[in-house]
Amino acid sequence: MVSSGVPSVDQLLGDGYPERSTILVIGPPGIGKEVLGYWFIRSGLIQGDYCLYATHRPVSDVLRDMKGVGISTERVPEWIASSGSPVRCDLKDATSISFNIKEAAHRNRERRSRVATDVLSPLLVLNPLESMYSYWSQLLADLKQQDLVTFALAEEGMHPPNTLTTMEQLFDGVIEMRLFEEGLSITPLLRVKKMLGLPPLHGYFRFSVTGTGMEVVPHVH
Amino acid sequence: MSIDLYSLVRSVAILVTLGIVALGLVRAVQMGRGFVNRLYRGRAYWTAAVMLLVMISLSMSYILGNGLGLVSVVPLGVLILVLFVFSDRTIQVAVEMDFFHRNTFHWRQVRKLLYVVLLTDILLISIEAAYPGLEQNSTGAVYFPLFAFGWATFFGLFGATIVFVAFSAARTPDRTLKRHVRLFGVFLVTFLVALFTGQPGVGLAVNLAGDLVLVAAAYSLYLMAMSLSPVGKVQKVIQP
Repeated sequence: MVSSGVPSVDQLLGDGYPERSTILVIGPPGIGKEVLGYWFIRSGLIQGDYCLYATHRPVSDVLRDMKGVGISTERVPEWIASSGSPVRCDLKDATSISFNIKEAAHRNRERRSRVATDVLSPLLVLNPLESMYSYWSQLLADLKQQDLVTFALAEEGMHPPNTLTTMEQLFDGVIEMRLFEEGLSITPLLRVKKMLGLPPLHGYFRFSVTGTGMEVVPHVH
Repeated sequence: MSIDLYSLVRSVAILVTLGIVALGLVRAVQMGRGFVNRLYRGRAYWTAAVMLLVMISLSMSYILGNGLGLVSVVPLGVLILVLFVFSDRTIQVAVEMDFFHRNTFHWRQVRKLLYVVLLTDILLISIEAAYPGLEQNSTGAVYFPLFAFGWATFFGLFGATIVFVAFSAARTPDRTLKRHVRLFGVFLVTFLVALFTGQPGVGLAVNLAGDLVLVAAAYSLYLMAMSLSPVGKVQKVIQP
């Protein structure tokens, strides 16, 4: 298993994400999906894994966010970003993004690797669903040939309802983060919609992000 | 319709409006607490601030029997500042949501200048409010340009901000944010209509219609709070 970097999430998933798996985290903007990705990468850097972060944002923005949630930026992953990285992420050129991710992973094929990316939603907005389904299907299949865990983020509320449901089929694990309503209160909750090697996990988990980490605890209904 | 019956209708309308806005305020604060990203959290809290301002003004107007005279009760500077900061946060969220992170009309730079203009405006308007006779006593050479500058930049500033908000919202792929901005527009229009139609002397029928519009304005504000969550509608937790 590959640690998620968040002890309570590891515990929830039975020691982390499965080896050679593809994980999708879905949630509305601002809810904290990226934090799971940051801790996943941070954990890999500490363990000596090769880590790649492919993002449509500038490197400086991501580093600022990391610091904001208490993640040290002494060690950083290799970047494919819109600016501030040697390899540029150009959302108008999906082929180059796929090529660069696969090329970086192939260069480090002797090591265990982790890839985190937030380009799924932008590419889904900018391209037809059919072509993106094939694109991600091919990319994820190629990455699974190596000792590598892929972690992707998807924005909810930006796509037609069937789009993310379709994309979920390509991933081994799907985690949903959302604001949920219970009576008059609104609570940020997380649930594991599916995870390779695990029976269906029912129930919701309350999550919180502090300056020192992330905590996930069972939600008492 | 007798005046007493009309007063009763107005009281009910104000109470219903306050109830709806209070519910929206609670939702906005709760949603703000749910966001991890500081920009989204800030937008939620400033949405709550707009609602709080509306509640204070309505309550005070009602208690003082001053119609719906928002501007006469709440200091104008506070009103301007809260609306501007709310607009600023909305634009910043829209830029963040835009996958290409386009700095709409250089907002990140322009906003600093607009804040300086805004604070100057508030200062000038405060002077005018504190010394109502000042304008008449002046020779016109010193004070008139100040007041003219204050009001001209005030309208210019908000005109420009509306353009910024509309353009930046149009660039984001998030349909929930677009809905949020549209509802804010609906609120502003209905609230202004309610303010004018709620004034004494325009006729009871118009006053009554104004009260209904006020409830509609409050409801649009409530929906605006609900649209802070980009999924549009929070779902009930269903335990299997």
